[in-house]
Amino acid sequence: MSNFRLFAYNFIKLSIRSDFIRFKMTAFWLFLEPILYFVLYFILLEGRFLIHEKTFTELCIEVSAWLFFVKNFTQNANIFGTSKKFISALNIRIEKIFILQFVSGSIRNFLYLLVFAVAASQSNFSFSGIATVVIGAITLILLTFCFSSISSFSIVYFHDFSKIIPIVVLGMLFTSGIFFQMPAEHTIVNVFFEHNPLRVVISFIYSQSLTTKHAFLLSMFILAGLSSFTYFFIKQNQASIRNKVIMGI
Amino acid sequence: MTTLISFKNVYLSPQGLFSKNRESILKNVSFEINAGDTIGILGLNGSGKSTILKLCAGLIYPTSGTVEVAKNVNVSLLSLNSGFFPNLSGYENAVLLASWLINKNQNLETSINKIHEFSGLDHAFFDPVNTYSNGMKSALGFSIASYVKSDVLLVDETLSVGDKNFSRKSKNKIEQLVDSGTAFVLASHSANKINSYCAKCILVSNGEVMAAGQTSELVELYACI
Repeated sequence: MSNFRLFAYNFIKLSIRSDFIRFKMTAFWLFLEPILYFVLYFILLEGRFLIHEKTFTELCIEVSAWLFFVKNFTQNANIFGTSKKFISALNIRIEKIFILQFVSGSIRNFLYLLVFAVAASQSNFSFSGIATVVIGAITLILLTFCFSSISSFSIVYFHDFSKIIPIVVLGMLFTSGIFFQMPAEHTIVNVFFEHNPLRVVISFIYSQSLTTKHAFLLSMFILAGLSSFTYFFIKQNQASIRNKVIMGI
Repeated sequence: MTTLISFKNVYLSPQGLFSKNRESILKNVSFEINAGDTIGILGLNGSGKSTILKLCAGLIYPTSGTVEVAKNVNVSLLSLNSGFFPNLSGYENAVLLASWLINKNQNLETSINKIHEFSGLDHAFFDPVNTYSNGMKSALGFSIASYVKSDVLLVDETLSVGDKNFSRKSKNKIEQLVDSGTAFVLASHSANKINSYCAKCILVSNGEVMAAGQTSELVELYACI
């Protein structure tokens, strides 16, 4: 019978190889892109998002975490739509396709996570460097996994909103205060910030007077629960998702 | 005779709040595929041939009725729009698809060499698939699907785009597979193709099975549609 492990190994190896070997500029662009983003964020966000109050390390953590989320989320936000041919070709369970695509996509964005790890290990958080890096990285991966699975599942049923859903999610995250803390000025962004459902959750976590360590752990716990719930929801709706993706019915 | 796949009163219709067209795509489809069968699914464009193959392969699920696939039966579906990864070479696509489809006791490298040899693609085998013509894609797809051990080989129109040499080779290969017990199902709108490959035939029209029986008899009926 089918050999999923061998297939998964070859799939991840070949998709990465095709990115980095066939397109020679990919490796070069991979290093250049974060630097350009850093420069852009300095110009755009300076003075608006309390950048001037942060140390360079803190800024590196924020920007690399945000970049990892944006890249990973936008690549995986419509997994079922983008892998329609893949789903049509092979009779693999839909949740396995999701995991495979997510893992190979995340490996490509590893560099952003590396910047996050290096910066986080240099920071003066209240708990040890390695724990910061590991818990922070897992939280980030869970965050992208959670939002990507919710977004791709929604797009299957609300196909007409396939372009809007990722933008709404990104906007919600951007104005939630997870990645960037904003000043109390009355700006247009602040309107979204005040009415953002994610901010309610974050406010709740902060209102518990938790330490950074406990806040991290609590968010990881919430994200793990939400991710598992969506994963099993996708698994349960196997037939419906397949019929929608392959036949559009 | 061992029944590999059986359709019992299968209906397929759009579901969900936002479905625009609610007319059934398949209506009350029932038939069986046994080991060693060569079955042609004949019908006009849009009659539901490819949908029946997708149900056989387990890619989609019926709205009502059942599609039963016997335990440990490997089903391979080959269609013109087979999911090749366009940026990967023919070799890499073969590695990927074969690693999913081969049995654990089959050697991957040996299978790839045989696929390369049978496809007749020579150096093009190592070029990206997005540079291939329809005929080359069809040759690659058929070579992969026929060299991995499958109990049911489903082919959707693909054989109509191959050249004369490839058609001859593929026909011989299908005969070999059928002799070894593999069931072969070909969906096409060409009565000639079905007649040359299949002994039995199912005539499909507007999602319904109009008639089933020997190909020679049904080809005449098809000409009247």
